[in-house]
Amino acid sequence: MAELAIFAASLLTAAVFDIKAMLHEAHRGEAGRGETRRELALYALICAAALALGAVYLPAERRHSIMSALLELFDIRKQLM
Amino acid sequence: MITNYNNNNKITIRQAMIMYIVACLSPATRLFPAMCARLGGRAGWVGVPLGAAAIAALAGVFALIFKNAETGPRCLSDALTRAFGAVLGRVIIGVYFIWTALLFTLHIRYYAERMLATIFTTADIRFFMLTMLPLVYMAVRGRLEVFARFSEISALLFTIVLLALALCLLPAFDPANILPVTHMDALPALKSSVPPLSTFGYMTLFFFLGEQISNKRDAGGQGRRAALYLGIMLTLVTVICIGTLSPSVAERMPRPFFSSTKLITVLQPLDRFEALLLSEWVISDFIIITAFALILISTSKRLFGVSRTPKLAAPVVFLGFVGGIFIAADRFELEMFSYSVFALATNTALGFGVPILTLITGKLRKTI
Repeated sequence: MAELAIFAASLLTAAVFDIKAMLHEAHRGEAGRGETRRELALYALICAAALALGAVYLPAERRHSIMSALLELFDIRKQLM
Repeated sequence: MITNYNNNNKITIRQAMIMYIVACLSPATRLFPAMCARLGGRAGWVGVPLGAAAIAALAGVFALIFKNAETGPRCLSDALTRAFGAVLGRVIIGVYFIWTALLFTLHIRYYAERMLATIFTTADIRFFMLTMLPLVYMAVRGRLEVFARFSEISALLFTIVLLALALCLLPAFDPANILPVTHMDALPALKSSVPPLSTFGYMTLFFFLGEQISNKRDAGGQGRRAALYLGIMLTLVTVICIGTLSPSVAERMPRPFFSSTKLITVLQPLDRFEALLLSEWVISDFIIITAFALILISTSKRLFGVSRTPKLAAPVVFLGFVGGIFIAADRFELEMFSYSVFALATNTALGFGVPILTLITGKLRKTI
């Protein structure tokens, strides 16, 4: 859990600076409101994907791999079919 | 100090091709000797020039796609939406986005596994990622021109190092390991061209950076030069590797080119040249990882309807870190994936099949 906490804290710190820069650009008129909203949504989506992946795999007891999960999924599908 | 940057952060098609060449060198030296030896035996080295010839054809396809600089597509995302329509075009861009994300995390893991397996065998794998990824972050945040110039210098260094290593391996080279090649080796040689085709297809991904590449209509000429360079250098690497180790040994080794450099001894006391090769590999890995991060960010632009390049360096790098750790449980899973038909077929289809289809569909619909 400590790993996940450090990971999340680092990501959120970087996100704060980037979002601040994006909002500053929007305030200066370099980007429109809709454009800024889409950029923020995209940023949040990729951050969420990184955090979700970290939350699933970083806790010590869940040392599986993405490839193993995909292979298990396909094996299950084969068994069902 | 006057810095000679242009204002719009664009690179030339020549610089883009050099980035592509250096990016190909790491996966090629990792995969080609073992896979070509496995698929083609003694004639495995013939697959590399066959694959390189396909690069010239692919570059010709892109030269036709980007023929018209004023009214034609500005990048590959633009070409896909023009050729296949807004919905299907976005779906295809989405497939490229997911595949590039997978390749991005895979290459981070390949780099870390290589360091772990070759020199730092007792270190934690996360250490290598934590040293590489901040540099990738800075490169992605910085100017593309600077990264392109670094790639040009690296290409020169790589050429000198590979030629020097090949020269030093000549005493251990046995021509009987690669010759004779007869008409009966035609099918194995063709099979051994699949891994090179799969790697050389990375050229397509670089055209997602098309908005930052100028004079793309010259892609044909620059592509032929890239094909010639990669054909010569990587054939040399494969020939030297299979020639010194023999096909049966090369196909069984995890890193045959690295292992063959351990045979080099100059004037008896001078050896351990494998460290020189490793340092070059690290540079190539840095370039391919950064290139994939840049391509991911460019692809997301069109996919999510953003007109400016978004500031995604931090989340992409964090995604790469977590993805790199958990993409595979161990290096056996990694190797199984590299050698799998799924990975080779997908790389080849996305690298060669889709651009050709894009050109044909675009010309039929008169949108390209």
